[in-house]
Amino acid sequence: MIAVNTIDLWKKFGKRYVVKRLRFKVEEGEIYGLVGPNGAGKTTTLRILATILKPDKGDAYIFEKSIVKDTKIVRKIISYLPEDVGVYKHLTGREFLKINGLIQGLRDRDLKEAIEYGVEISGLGEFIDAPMGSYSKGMRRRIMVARALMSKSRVLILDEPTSGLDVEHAVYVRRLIKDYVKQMNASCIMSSHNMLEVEYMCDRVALMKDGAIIVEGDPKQIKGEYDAENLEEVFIKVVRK
Amino acid sequence: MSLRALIYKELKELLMEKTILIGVVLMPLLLFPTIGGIFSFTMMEAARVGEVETITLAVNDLDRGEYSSFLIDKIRENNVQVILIRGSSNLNELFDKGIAAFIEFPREFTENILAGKKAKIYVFYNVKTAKITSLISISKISGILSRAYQSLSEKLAEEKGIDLDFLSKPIEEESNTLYGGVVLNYPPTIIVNTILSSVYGLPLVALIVVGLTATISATSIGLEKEAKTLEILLTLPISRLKILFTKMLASTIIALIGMFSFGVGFGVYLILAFSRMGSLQELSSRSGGLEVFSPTVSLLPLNSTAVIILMLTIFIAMLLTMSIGILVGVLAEDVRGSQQLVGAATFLPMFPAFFLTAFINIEELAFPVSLLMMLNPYTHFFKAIDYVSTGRYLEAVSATMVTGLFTLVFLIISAWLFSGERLITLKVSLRKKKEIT
Repeated sequence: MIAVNTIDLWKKFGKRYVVKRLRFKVEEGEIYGLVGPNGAGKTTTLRILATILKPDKGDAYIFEKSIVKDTKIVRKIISYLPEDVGVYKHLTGREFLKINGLIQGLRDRDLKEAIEYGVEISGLGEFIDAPMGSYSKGMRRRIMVARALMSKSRVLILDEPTSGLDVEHAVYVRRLIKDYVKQMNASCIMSSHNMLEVEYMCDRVALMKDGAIIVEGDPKQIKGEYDAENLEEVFIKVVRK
Repeated sequence: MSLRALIYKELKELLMEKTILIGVVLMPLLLFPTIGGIFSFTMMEAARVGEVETITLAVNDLDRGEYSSFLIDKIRENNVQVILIRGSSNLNELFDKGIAAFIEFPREFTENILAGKKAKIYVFYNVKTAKITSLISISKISGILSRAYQSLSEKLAEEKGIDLDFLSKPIEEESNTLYGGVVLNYPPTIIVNTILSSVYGLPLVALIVVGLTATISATSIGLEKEAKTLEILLTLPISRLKILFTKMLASTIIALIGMFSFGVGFGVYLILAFSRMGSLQELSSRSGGLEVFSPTVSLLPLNSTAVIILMLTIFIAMLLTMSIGILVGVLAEDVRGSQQLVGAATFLPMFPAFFLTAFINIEELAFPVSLLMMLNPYTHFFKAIDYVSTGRYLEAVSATMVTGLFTLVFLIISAWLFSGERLITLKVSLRKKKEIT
């Protein structure tokens, strides 16, 4: 089943189009990566899919629900994690997970289970009951990823999920996302500057430049097509073309 | 349930924030009583010093006539030590010895009085420091001298067979003021002073506290925008209006706590500051100088209807300030931007409205200016207070409703901006955009 289907998305800020006729599909149980330099349109695309921004033209469907017309339903299916997101300083990790669960409509046993799951995957141990203002950057990212996954959403929209993290935390977060998608048969669309990370995590990738996709496909297949050792090399070759 | 969770989040985040806890809740509770305590202590000390201190005056009587001697005797009657100086003397040396004032009677003093001319007397006061204790001491000397002059006047009048009391005050005025349809047995100056300080002053200070809370509500949105936690909230299955509503509600609760804290703090201040006022006033009146105005809040023609309307008016103005804060938070790019904008957006219209409403009649201003003032939402707030204080309750309610309408407009604009993507894309700032290098 198609989890995400974007049909000719256009978005402009001022007079400049930052997303141009974007068209791609993400299958159920698939991790799809958007890669490219700053200003390529990755974050804007994810924000449109997360229902924060509206496309100027075109539409996208999350499990056949329009992000423009069926916003409320879409919000129940997706889970969005912005890049470099901060925390509520005075809430504890557990309180944050509980509030998030309540807003997502979880109650009683479901809520309790979701919180327990969130606490477990955050790996924060006793720090889960400490104010989040006292967390390190890695711990903050873990609690945010746990929040995104706790309600067992069918579609994850993750903007640079490991940005700014040290190796240990980055490995932890990557493994968490991969395991989640596999176990839940969920779908994930993520962006990253790190092409090696995308290569490791994603089933398919789209290389973006100036708001458009310039190459799309299985990382191995793309590397073969361009006779490159990694995606970075592919990107450079495509840009030079 | 989700609404309750959001309110909990907002309240905990706001109440645990040090700037809010200290600025809105603790500061009024600590600051006002501290100022009141210091004021009270100063008054008590000043009164004590004035009571205990024996005054020593140096007098150079070049006249040595009947009337200069009479005045010196009268001064002595007030438990004042008088040192008589012969010939010229150095003022600095005298004052260094602790002389409070130096008085010189010129040679022709008595002669002038006998000739029906005004006689001159030279007085040099020793002011060591510009403090309240100096003021008390000066006031005491001045009072003693005034009473001595009065005794001389009475003596002269008696010698000439004149009823001085009648001549100096042939008319006795009993001042009454018709204010708000009620006749008050006080001079109008006291009524106006009291109303200005109580009816306008308190809401203004209350608004400053609320203004601070508006800064905080704007900051809370700015902070969420900057930290991108707002982006997460916006993708959750909860309406944006509910998010906005919880922010408004939390800010209002904080503002009410701030108002309560302000009320308690200010009450303690009044008790501490003015409980010692009586002793100072008594001392001053005994010495015949320095009149101290004691606030007589009981003068106000406020009944329970007026108090209810006044509270409602202040509450609506509080909501207005809050809605401006929320709007600024929505418009601003980040925390710094919202903090800079909110000051301009609240205090800039607030102060002209206060001063113009308090001191002049806005309807009498030139048309463009009066129109501009009527477009200022705070004008209607202060007009409502003005109406309450004059017993025009219907007009007060109307003005409050206009303030409420402005609040509604700001809320609708905020809600409209909050519902769309402008919430994320708008980046209004007073700062200069950095050039990309």
